[in-house]
Amino acid sequence: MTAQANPQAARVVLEQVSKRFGQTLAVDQVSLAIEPGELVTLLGPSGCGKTTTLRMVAGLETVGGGRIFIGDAEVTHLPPNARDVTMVFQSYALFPHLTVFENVAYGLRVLKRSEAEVQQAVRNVLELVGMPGLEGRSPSALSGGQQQRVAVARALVMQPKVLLFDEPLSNLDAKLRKRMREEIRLLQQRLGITAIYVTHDQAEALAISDRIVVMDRGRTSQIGSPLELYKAPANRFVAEFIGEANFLPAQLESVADGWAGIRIGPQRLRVQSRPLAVGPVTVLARPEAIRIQTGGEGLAGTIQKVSYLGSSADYTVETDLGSVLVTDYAMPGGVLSAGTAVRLEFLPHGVYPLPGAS
Amino acid sequence: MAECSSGIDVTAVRNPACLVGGLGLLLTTAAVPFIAREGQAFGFGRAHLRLTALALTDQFPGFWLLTALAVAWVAAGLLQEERPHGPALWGGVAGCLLVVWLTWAAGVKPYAFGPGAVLALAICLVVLASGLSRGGYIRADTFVAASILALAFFVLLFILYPIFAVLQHSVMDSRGFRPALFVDTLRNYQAFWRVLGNSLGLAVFVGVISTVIGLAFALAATRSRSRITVLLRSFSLLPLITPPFVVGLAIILLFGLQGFITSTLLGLKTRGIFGFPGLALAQTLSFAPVAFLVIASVVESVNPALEEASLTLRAGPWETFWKVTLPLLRPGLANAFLLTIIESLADFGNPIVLGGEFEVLSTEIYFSIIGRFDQTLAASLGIVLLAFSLATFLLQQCWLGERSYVTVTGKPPSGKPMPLPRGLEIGLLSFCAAWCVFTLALYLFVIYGGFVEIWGINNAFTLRHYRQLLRDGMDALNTTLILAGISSPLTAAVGILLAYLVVRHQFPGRGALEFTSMLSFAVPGTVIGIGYIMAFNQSPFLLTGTATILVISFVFRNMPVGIRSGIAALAQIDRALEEASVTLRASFATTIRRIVLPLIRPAIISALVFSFVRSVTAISAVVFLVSAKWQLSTKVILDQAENGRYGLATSYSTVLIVIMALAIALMYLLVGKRAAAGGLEGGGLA
Repeated sequence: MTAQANPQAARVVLEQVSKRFGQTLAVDQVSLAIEPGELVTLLGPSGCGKTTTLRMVAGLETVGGGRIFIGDAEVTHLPPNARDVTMVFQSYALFPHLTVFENVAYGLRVLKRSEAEVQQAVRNVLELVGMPGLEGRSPSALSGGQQQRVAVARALVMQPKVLLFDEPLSNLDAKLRKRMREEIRLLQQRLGITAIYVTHDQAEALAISDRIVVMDRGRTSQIGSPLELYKAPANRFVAEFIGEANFLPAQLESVADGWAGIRIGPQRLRVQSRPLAVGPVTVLARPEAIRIQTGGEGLAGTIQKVSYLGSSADYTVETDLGSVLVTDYAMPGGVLSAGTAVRLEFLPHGVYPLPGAS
Repeated sequence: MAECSSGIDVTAVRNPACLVGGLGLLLTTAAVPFIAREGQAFGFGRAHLRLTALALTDQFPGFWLLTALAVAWVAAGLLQEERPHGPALWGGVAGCLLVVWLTWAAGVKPYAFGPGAVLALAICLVVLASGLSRGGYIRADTFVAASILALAFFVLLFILYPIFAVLQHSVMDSRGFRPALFVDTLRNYQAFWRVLGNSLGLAVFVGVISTVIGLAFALAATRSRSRITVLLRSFSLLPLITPPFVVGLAIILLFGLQGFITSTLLGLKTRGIFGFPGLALAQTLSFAPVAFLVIASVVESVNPALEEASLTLRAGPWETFWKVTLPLLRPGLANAFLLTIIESLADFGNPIVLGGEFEVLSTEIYFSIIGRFDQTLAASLGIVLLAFSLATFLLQQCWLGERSYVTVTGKPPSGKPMPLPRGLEIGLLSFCAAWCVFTLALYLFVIYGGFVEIWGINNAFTLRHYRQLLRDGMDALNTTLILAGISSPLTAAVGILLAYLVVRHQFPGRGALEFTSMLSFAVPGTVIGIGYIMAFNQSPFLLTGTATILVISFVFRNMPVGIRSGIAALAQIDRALEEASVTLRASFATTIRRIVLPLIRPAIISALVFSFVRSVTAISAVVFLVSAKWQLSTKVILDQAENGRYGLATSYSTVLIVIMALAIALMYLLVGKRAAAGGLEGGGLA
């Protein structure tokens, strides 16, 4: 998208890739095409097969079935050192017996590059990740964020066709995590490098990705841009995994041209929708797209629980349709207390009918 | 495999493994003697060239197949485009089988396998390995795949095949295969039930006593606040650096016919120590430290929070000790008990000098071969001994594998372990101190015995034995040190490579490979010894009487030492380090060299030292394999002790003890105390 053209960047294609560990099918016929220069995130809960998929691309895991292509070449059965792929590991995996410089230089030395070239390339890449001047340190003398940068530098210096990230930020604290993910994204866009990024953190995935692959029990649940996944989740799993979600029974009354007329409780509204059959449906209602008022129109309910979070307040409201989570950022009437009778009004931009029976 | 560069740009070929392998195989069949005359395996004369595969095609047309395979590989290497691993894979399998078959067919007396057969097999294995790796059957490169295949081959040939040979000799004699032979042999051997009863009774008795003493030491060493615990720890070293017979000799010097206590102090003229009492004492002295190491590691891994919980629930120290601590140690106690039984059953050194009329299986096997020249009886007794050892080993593996209460997290649990109840602590410490003093006295008597004219009869000081040692014993000592020096790096390499493959790689047969290689620990040395003479004294695998077979026996007997240190060390290393290295284009061999080896250096050094020590002190297997040309120190000591020449035997033992102590001290110096202690544990258990 914003990536500039990089001749090194390669297209990565997975064709019905599967992997079995004993009796369990860890990855089940995953197909995926990643464009040159694109950053695609594999997102899902632990055990969904995202890391295994990544490791198969790296060659660290044998491929049970299907084929993997990097650029024009099939790499399905190539050992990892014969692929033009580098990886940033969750634990950083910095070699403890080598200095920062030698860690970054490791791959170049394996390729028997000239000393001058190694020196030049290592200094450049350490500069690029914002880590000049620490070449002689031992990795154990670095902070978590610095180790992270060295790990990225070590992977980048090889100018790989594909850069893989395996939950690279999960060992950092929340604030640093946010900064590092922005830096990684900037770097990736600037270099126009193809990247696959594994995380279980949906906020990280939304912030960093061109496209997200949501995985569930070894299968791809949905592939799409962050906006598509949030606005038009393909199923309940995706809707629940990305952002908070209410699932409410509703009536689909009419469908035409990508719009649907629906009725939730007493309220009628027109929302964007994929073509669905008229009748009872489950709708996804995002908590921040529900207006909570002490009077007026809308679904009637009683506040059960209040959590005040500073910039917003979360209400659990008991209604005829079940309990509904509402996030109020505006708080026009201050914070309401538990037991208050309220009316809920659904805003069309945050309501989406889910396919499949309710 | 890089020997071929005949002007062809190998990188331009789709299938370099087949091309290079094919050319190498062609060269081998044409120029390297496939078989060799006995004892001339590495000559290169005109006569040898008549033994190349190509030359042998006259007598054995089967050799044409080998040449055909080589040609086919070259063709495949040049032409093949799609599915490049096919010819390497199937050709490799065919090639390996072909080489083994041809060796069997052509290597008949007076010929045995030659360098050509070894080389051809190596080439076929490597090509097969590249096929396995390229075909995605093993998630690694050719080096790893070839290592797996080579180690599997060695384990088959040097661990399983000798055992098979013993089995074969127990049911097969000159009249052919007779399953009833085994039963008949044992029925005709009158002493069988007595010998079996002796062995098992002794093993169980020593197992119980050693476990109790080991527990006492373990509690005292890990839970006492006294300074004496340091002494207890170093005490555990002693049996590891002790050559066989030392404890036995010491007991004879103290309690024998001319014994210091029995004869000099008490005025008794008795041979009563020979037999069960002396053996039980000697084995307990030798194996209690092994039990101590096993139990101590379990005591240390008990989570102190459990004891603290008990104390906060109103239980006193005694109650906590009986109801919480001791039950938690049960798996450790069982483990120590079973290990001691295995050791006792396999023990050869003590029974041979102290047994007297009390025969046990291991010595009876020895006398069947050496005295009665009855291979069938030796094999049958060997099978019986093996069956009991393996049963105990399997029991230990399965049962304890399931029931370990102590969780291994790699993190030291927080909190302080509960000190022992006061009374118990004092009791344990006094007992352990007394035991240590006794042990120490034994060693001093051995050293002293080397400086005495004739023990108990003429106690004049003399250097006569050492002079004789310098004159007659140096050849065997040199041989011992050289062969141990050759085998120790090989043992460490094979053991650690195997540990690496088993821990870090997935491949079919992984569990079987690990199990079989650890098995060599449970197979009694006498059984392996007779297995080697039965398997390798005939064509096509002719090795007996050479130094090679001694080195091989050292390597495969001591391999578990390397495997254990390797597994323990690798468990401490994040596997992502190696993955990072291979994704940075390093091959697996480079990764091992530049990442793995530097990080597990202490384990390597301790494996080196302990395999050296164990080689120098080995007796039970090598007693069958030594020859006039390749004589070992331990066999010399045995001969002296058997003839009652205790002066020479003890002086020789003293020299070995000093060498061992120096080796261990060197290791401490090189790797530091903690790593050395860890290695010690691996050496002690294996």
